[in-house]
Amino acid sequence: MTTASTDKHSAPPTRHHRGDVLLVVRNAAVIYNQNRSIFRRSKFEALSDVSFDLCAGESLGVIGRNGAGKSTLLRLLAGVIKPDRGTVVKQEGVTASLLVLQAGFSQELSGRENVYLSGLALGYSKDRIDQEIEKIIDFSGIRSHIDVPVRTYSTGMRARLGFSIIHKLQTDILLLDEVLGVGDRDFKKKTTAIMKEKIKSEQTVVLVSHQASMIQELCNRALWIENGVAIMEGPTEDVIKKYEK
Amino acid sequence: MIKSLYKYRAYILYSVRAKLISKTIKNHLGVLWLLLDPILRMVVFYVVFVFLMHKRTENFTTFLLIGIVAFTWFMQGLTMGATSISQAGRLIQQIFIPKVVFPTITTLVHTIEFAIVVSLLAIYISIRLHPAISWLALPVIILTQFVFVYGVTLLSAAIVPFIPDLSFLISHGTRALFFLSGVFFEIKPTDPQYHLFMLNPLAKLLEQYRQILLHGRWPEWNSLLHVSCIGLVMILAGAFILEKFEHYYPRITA
Repeated sequence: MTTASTDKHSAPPTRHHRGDVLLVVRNAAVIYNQNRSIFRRSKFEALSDVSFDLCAGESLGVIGRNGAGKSTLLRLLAGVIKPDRGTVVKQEGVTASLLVLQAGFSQELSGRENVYLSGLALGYSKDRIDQEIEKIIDFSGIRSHIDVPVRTYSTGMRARLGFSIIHKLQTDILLLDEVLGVGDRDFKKKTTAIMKEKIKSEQTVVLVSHQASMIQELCNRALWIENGVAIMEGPTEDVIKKYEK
Repeated sequence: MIKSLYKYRAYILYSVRAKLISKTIKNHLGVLWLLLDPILRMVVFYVVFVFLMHKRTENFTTFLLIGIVAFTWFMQGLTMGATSISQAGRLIQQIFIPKVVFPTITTLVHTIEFAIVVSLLAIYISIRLHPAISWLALPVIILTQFVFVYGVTLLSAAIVPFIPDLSFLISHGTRALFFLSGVFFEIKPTDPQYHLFMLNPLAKLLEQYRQILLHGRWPEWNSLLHVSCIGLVMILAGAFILEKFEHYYPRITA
């Protein structure tokens, strides 16, 4: 299995033809140790049995109630953890990244320096950030504050900066955890539109949500998980119909 | 390990900078604290030993400062190394970053702090003492300690997340080591316990610093080689564990 970080530093992701299988998940299970005491050990299966294929260009919606194992699945796909049973196999060179707002932000540093810090943590190369920095600042709309410590930012400003960094992130498989729009009303509109466009484009996306409506609108295929088990997979319409019953 | 570090070199450098900046910005005296901290600690010992116990050896303040500064470098590697991965908890649960990156950042931060203190201390020492040719060996000793500290940091970063209870032992252990490494006293080769005492690599290191700075003698090269080897073994062991459990750490740090 190639880890999420492989080749993220080198230029844009490899081009894949629509329909190529990028990722194969087979009977994946993740079991956490619930407590660390040596006197008592209990195991918790966050994910018990999930299988699916992901093809280039499609957007897969993962739906399930709280605690169904959605976030664990995303971590698995991002290559942060490995399954305890089953397999997660990415095609050679395929990258998958979770969209994380404000990853690794440092409060005392300026906005500009945080763009670098966060960008590098996400796997951008320094050259790439050098190229994009002005565009990122423009997009965030907080140029006047870009050189003061992030500590002084409002929540909205932080969100703006965070989003501006990640929306340029290029990865083969984009992993999304609910978050679509952030910031105040205007910025939220802007970001939601961008994310929707991204999901509907050639970009391969896995979107996790408990909101059926969001998945219905944006995804062409859906996977329903409950208590760590894949209940149903298929065209969004059919899955949502069953899910909402 | 080297591949990961190379790949993430820019991130490491930026993080080191970020840590240094946020550490110095937070307090009003900023970077001065790096210097005040060992001096204040020295003053305490000076008061106890010189005024209260009337024990005074030649150049006692310099002797103390060397011991305290070098020991602090080691101690911070051990204690901050232990928390380096759990502090990155949120980040490593979302993004894949090789875990060896975090203790490396910690080591570099403390090495730079140490370097700042050492250069200021060097000015003080060269005013108080006559520079000797043996001072040229200082970089070799510092390099040796770097290898040792890096090893300790990697190893504690690798192991402590599995057994968080160790952090209690570490705080007691460092206190014990503080007393057992001769930070504020000297054991002479003629003392019967000398060889036992010098089994502690830290005691060996402190002795070498004092040999070259206070007594104008060359260090025992054998001892330095010995300490570097211990450090190297710890680096390899730490890097091995970190790599082996690369995908396991995100599960046990919250």
